Amino acid sequence: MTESRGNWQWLYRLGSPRWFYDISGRWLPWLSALTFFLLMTGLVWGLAFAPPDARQGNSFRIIYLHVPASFLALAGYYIMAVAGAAGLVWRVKMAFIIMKSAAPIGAVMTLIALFTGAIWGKPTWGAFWVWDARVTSMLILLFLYIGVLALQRAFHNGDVGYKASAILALVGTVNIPIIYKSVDWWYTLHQPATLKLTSAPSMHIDMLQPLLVMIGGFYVFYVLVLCLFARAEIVCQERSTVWVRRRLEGTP
Amino acid sequence: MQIQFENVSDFLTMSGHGIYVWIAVFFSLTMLIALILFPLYVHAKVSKEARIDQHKTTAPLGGEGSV
Repeated sequence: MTESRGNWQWLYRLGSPRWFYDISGRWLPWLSALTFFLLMTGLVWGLAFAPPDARQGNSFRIIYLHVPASFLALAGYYIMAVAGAAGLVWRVKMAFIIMKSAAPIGAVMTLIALFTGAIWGKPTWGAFWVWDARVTSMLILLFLYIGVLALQRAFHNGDVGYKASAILALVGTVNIPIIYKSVDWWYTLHQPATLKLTSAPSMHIDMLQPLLVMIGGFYVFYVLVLCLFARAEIVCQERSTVWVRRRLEGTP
Repeated sequence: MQIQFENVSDFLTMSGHGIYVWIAVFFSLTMLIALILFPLYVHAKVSKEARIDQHKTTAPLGGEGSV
């Protein structure tokens, strides 16, 4: 009995805002340093050292922001939906906090992907915006993120807002495979995926290496910012508890 | 591996594509920095309010377990 409790203890701990607050506080300096290092390395490498594209010239360098932001816009949606599902099933407070924190980050990532894509579209396609399948499905993703954000704040009872937005997040996951597959299913202006798990990348290794560094940097950045948002939310929700008061006074 | 540009102005203009690349970089970095600063601001603001509340209610702190 005691052994099985020991095995599951980490799960109970994971659900505790206080435990998350303390452990993430210890991660923050490392996450910040790693984010800064990866993003600076990837950016300088991609902007100055990677060779220009044979057809697109130097405008292709926007890829070093566009693709990592798009990756996190999609991955962040799954994180938000899975956290929402965990909150609905197990009624864990921490899961809803993660879901709430993931929504603004995902929305900004989608905005970066759309904006850099529009800027990239001008010299490449001759237009800032086209109603292309990939672009349109990304715009729907932005609206889904905004919907989840708005729904959380639409109810006086915070718990109802959490549940409603978790359901919207889950229903919205149907859009994610559509975004992934849009470049294959429809005839689109958007180029096919540069990186695929199932086949070799369609990119020269000298261009690919800084892109991988940037994607890694964006993932670490995402974890860092998710921790920051979740910590702010925890302090907001638990401000009247003794443990938060103690942390704010600086006593452990 | 070597730098693809001959000088700083070449790096900035990027043979005509510089304006697009640098707008994309500026926008993205501004957004990323905002994502870091916003939760820090909220955290600091809530902490400050909580500290003020705490001074109003002079109740002594109980054990860690009590709410």
